[in-house]
Amino acid sequence: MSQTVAVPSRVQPAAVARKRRVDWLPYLMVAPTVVVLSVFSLLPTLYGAVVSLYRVQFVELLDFVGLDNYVGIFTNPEFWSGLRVSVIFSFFSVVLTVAVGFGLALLANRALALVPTFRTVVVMPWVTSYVVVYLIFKWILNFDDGLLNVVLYAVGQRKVGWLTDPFLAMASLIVVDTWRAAPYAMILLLAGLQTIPHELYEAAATDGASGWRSFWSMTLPLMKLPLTIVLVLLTIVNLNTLVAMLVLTGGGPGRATEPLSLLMYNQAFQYFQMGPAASIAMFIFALNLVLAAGYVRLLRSD
Amino acid sequence: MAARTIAARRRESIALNTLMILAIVVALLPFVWAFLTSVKLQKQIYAFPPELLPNPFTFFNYLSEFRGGLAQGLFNSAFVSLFAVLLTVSAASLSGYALAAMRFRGSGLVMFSIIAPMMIPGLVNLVPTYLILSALGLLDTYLGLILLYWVGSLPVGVYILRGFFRTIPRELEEAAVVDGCSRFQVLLRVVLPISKPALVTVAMLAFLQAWNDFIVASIVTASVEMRTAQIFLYANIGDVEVNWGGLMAAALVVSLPVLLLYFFLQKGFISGLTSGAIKG
Repeated sequence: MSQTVAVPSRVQPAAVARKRRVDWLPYLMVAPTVVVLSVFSLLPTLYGAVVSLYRVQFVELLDFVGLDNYVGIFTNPEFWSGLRVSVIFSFFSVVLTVAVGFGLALLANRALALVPTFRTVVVMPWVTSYVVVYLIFKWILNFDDGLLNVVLYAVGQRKVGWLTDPFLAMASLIVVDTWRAAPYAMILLLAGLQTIPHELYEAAATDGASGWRSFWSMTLPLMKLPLTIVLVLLTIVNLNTLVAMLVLTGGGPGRATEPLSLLMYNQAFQYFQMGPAASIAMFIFALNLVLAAGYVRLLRSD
Repeated sequence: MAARTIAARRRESIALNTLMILAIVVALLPFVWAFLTSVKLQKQIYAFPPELLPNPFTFFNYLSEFRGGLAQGLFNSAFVSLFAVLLTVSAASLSGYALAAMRFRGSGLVMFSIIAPMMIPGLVNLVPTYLILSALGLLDTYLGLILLYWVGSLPVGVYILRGFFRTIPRELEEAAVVDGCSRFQVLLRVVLPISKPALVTVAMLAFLQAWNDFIVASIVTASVEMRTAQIFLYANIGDVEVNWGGLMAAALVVSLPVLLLYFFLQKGFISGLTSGAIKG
């Protein structure tokens, strides 16, 4: 693949110039992109749908079983507990991320000397990889020697099982994810805030409106669309989150933090149950499409 | 009246500055703590009562991580990321230009093949991709990784470049054609040189995606020699006795290239990452 792509950029122009009339040039130019995306993105999705209808042994498709894999996953309690975890994690993480991100965006939109430094530093968690972020927090939340418990112990409190208690493990995931993703929400929302003209605020101030008042009756209504867009976007991202759980909790304790994404991943690459895994993937895909359709509609109305 | 507003303004700016400093501390603290852990010796990390500051200050963990496979992981990540960047930028330039400046039958279908992948989450394609790579004999190879990273950043890359190329005035290109350039030469000599900011954005996006990826590498790589830097980090959590000093050292080293890129190219970085927002 890589060779066929490197070649056109060097050899084609002369050949193409000769055939100007048929004009193959645009086709040759888009060929590498179309071929590679078809083979490694579009084809896999279609193939995934096929696989979900087969009994698969290791990597071999054995026989067509119709909807058996789907019946199998829908009657499996692990699927429903996974869906529950996905929904709870996505919902709280998205709400918290948008709230914190909006706060950060409002701060970043002020003309204060500290703002450039603030913006630079606050975005750092977001450019760092998932693995690194959750690794650092796995250490901070460690029961025996983690920073949080060490501090608690120092002030005379008992150590807390941040990652071993089902409720706290979920809460930890949500809070750490907010730490990582809030800057992303900030950047997207800041772009929206910057489109609100300053004169509006000045006019409101001369009319005697307090900062609070102009926030509620001006900023918030004007930011309704950007806020909704970020909300939908983050929901899609969070429904597909996998590395967070894989690194921080491993889906535990028990299955308390095992979302559908992790269930699918484990089914496929731990137990090599490719058929059921493919059907879970199709279900996740359907969820994504519904949300994406909503997202596209929002963008159109923009 | 005026005096009161000045006092109120001062109070407000103190409150805002306090909030910003708080946010800065919250954003930085985990990194600082990771660094402090990384420069401590094992026995001090687990000391009781706990000691916050390193004594002695040592780079022992960094050295031992480099010898223990981190160097190989960094090399693998750099190697596949570099190829992914080159392939993404060249393929996206070619198709982005064709879509922006040329009229041809079937261009709508081409756009579909670029937009549709943006709607497909990587997660959904994991199982079939694994089966396809297995059939092609591409599991546990550099080529397998490079292809998937290329596919991962190509749609957004084409989208960004097509958008940028459209803003270039047609007269500029027409003048070059009059001077005897073929349209391919126009792209190479006229369009690309003035598109540097967009090309840098696409390159950065491709690099970041490849360098920070965990999931794709976790299904493609199998042997220890093929591990990317992110896989190397993850592989060390499984140990019974986790070596936190070493892990934090490795985690910081792995993050360094991305953070440096971010600090030096901040503006393009952020615009690039938000343009990924169209990726559903």
